[in-house]
Amino acid sequence: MSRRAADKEHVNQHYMMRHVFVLVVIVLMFGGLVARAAYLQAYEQSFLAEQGDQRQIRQIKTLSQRGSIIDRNGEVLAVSTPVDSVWVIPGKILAEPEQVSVLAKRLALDEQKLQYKLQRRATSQFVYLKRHLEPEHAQSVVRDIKGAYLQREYRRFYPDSEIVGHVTGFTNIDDEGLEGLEYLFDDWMESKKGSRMVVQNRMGEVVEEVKSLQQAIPGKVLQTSIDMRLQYLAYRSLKSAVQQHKAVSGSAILVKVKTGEILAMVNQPSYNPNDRSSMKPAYLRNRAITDMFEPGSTMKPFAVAAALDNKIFHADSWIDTAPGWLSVSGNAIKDFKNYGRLDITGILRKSSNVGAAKIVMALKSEKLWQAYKSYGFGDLTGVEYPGEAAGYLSHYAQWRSFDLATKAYGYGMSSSVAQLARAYTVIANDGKLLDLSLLKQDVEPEGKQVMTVKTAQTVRTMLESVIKPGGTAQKAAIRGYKVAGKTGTVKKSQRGGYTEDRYIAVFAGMAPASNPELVLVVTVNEPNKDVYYGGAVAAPVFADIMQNALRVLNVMPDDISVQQASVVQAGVDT
Amino acid sequence: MSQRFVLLAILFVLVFISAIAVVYVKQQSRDLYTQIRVLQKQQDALTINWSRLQLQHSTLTNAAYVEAIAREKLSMQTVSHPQYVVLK
Repeated sequence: MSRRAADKEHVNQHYMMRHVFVLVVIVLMFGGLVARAAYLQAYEQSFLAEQGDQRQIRQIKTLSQRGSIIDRNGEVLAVSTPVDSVWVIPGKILAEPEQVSVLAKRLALDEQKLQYKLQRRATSQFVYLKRHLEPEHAQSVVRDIKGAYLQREYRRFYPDSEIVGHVTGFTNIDDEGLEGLEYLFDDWMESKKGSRMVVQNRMGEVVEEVKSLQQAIPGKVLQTSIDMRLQYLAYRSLKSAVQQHKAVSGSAILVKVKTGEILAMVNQPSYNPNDRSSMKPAYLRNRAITDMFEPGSTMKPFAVAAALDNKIFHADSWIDTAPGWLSVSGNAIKDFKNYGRLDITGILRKSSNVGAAKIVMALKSEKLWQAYKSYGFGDLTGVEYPGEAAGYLSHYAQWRSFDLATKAYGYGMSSSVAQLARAYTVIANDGKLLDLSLLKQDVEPEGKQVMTVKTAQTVRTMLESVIKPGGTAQKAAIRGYKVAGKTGTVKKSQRGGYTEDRYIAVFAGMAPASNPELVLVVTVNEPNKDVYYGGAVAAPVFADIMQNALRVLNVMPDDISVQQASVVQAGVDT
Repeated sequence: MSQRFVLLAILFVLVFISAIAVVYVKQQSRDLYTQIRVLQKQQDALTINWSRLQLQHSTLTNAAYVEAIAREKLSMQTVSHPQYVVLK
């Protein structure tokens, strides 16, 4: 027992020694640390602070390219290219005064203004001097200058500028979509920022790359339904017509019948999306989609179609339009002149208001309203363009008999150019209504049958007569092709009634009429008073655009007579 | 005692190997990172070039430009209807 106790005593003493030893060591170490800290703080402070500043671990953002916009054939409509922006730390530049004049010279800036700018912001750490320079040029700007740096950014270019500006829209200086497709599909085309960890010095220069935290992901490409060749042709024709007739504005929209794709959509006036200073709000509007107008006589084919589908009339019914005017509850409906007895084709060919009014008055308001509604009037077209106008078609319960009559020739309601084009694709597409689209469609959409096939074909045949001798739009004729269409000359409404001297000239049509491929609607707003009829102003634009479009798309002519065919044959044989 | 010593020795060797491995992997990751940065810079240069070429391409294929050359320099004309030969 006692031996055990003695052992225990010995062990305890042994531990005691260790205890003291460990304690002393710890105290010494701690003391050493304190001394070291005091030394660093007191004697080497400035040296270390400098070293610390020189090495700072930072996360920096990396940018990537925004997706391009291309046309249906892959032509580039909008592309983001890398550019460099020059930024400076004014203090560092001013530290060596001769740098100011070098920079001014390289950037083609006024030296005194630059000097003033730098001095005014002398304490700032970040001042943009010039944004969006070509990378090669930018490199030479900052070479050997202390305090001038580059920042990678992306700039959007629109190679076809104002020709397709209303379709693409544009982005702001930070490459975010503001208008048009850029706005609508911003999420799709937007790139995802990446980030990486770097060691930077105080000047923001990267000393060492540590690691990549997140890869920057470039945006996706947006393929539109636009065919740039047709877009250009349409733009050229419309622009020259608007100039020739000294018109205020104009629009044209070309739609592929089988798919509802918009192949071309142009407006005057237009703007250059590359140059923000050229943008006036009035120029930015994509009038074909955002502006409403009363469609006028271009509605008559739909009134006729409604009457045929409701079996009120037959294709060969006759209607007496004498004496060239009609009084409906105290309001007069007038024709250009007294056309006497006309068949339905004749009513469209001569564009008789009286005839059209008599047709719809034989129809119930409800039936006409349902028909117009089903052709897409008073409804969005499906294109989903920002600021799209739905048009206006009041409910039939509010119609009095005169309201019903005016709907026959397209007054008392409104539509956009795109809507009118969509409705004409119903006639062109054997009665099927499709949504319009600005994106390329890979499959033909189903479409909704809103007009019987027979009626659509009958109306189409009737509309061919409009272009033939005796019709209102002989200038819409295209050699080699059958064309079907309808003119409109719409008095512009203003507060309190209609103006007597301001018109919108409209032509809506399709070709080749025997199996339509394309629908085109052209409007010219407020042409010069001398010539303002749809058949004289809009129809020639239609013919010009359509003829070129058919040629470019290699559409087979459907109006080559047998005699010509045999001549060709003979020529080939010999 | 010797058993513990052996265990300790093994652990020591393992720790040493692991330390070397850490250094090696770290070095490797640095090398790879340098490589990726070089490649990214290359990609960047190629992107710049590619977008420049795209712009150049669309300028040269711009319909207005092509039309002007076709009409003025090459004296070409649009084919009008009677000149068509339709083969079926």
